[in-house]
Amino acid sequence: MRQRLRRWRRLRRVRGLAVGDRFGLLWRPALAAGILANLDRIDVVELIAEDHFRASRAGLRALRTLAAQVPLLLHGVSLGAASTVPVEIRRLDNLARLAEAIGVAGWSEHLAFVRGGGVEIGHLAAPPRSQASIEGACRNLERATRIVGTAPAVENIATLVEPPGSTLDEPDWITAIVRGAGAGLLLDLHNLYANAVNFGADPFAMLRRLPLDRVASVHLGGGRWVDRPNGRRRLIDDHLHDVPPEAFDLLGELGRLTPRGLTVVIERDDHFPPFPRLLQQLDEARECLAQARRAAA
Amino acid sequence: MPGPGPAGGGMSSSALESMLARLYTDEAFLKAFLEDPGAALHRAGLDETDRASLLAIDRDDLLLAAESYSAKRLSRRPGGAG
Repeated sequence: MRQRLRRWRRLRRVRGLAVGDRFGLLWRPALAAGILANLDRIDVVELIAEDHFRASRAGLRALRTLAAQVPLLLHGVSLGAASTVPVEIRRLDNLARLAEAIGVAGWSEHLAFVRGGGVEIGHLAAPPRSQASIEGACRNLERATRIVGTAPAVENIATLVEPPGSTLDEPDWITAIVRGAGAGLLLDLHNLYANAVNFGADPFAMLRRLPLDRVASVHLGGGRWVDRPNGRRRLIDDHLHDVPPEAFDLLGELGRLTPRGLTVVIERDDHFPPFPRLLQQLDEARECLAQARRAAA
Repeated sequence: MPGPGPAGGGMSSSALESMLARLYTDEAFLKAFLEDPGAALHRAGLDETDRASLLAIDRDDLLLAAESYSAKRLSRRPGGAG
């Protein structure tokens, strides 16, 4: 075992990757066969937590079997953690039960609100970036950590609207929450890119202003441009398209800026390409990060 | 760089979150807001700071966001994340 570990570390050094760098995919039933057949090329698998809250015993057993073969990460989408409204205990209980039943390696949630005034938005929305939402998020993350047993990594979201009532810009707001809650940052590079280009910012400057010492994991997704009647263009992060070169460029920059190992997960919700195309994108991420590590060495 | 809006108060995020949730999900209310924001917010019970920040919102971006969320809800892709 120790010999295998030494060989694995040596292989990583030769390729240029940091010891902790891992690459994986978001679990989707349509991708199950491809993932299971290619576990030698997939270091980690991420599961949407809410998809499995009502899993049968057999379903949980299957997930435990999967967890024995590859580290599983739980990804929540419905807590609404970045809100002045407290996260509901029952939602956290669901997460805690699932995490324990499967034996996951970690979990994450979004810096978003998903409901307000009794209305479910059905998606992740950006709250006002204010001191009030920072304090609300820190309280919610403290509660989540206490109930689930481990702290979540928190993810930056894409937004098509500059949230009204904001007194901080996005990097300052994210930094305040991450520092205040002592949380890790799950950095979605396509979300960062989309927000930057949609609102006239430099994505690389935005990246450098984030608390990079807290980044342990990365999401890579894709999206599509839409032309608006007013002549503007907007990039919509839809997880239905390949990871664009700009997101890989940001991954390279991140790799140059932080020496710590990164878990990189490609997110694809639908319109799946042939599985080899996803593996190819994983290889691109690997190569991109390896090049960055070599350049920074 | 995305930054604070012109009327950023931020002390009543809860009321703003509720109003945004309604704008994103209630088609009739969104239509009324886009046609006449002042009139749509008249009876919303918002304080002056929240009202001003909502009046300053980019209406085309708001419409696109609402359309995008609606499409996501209709597609019923479980666990679609941002």
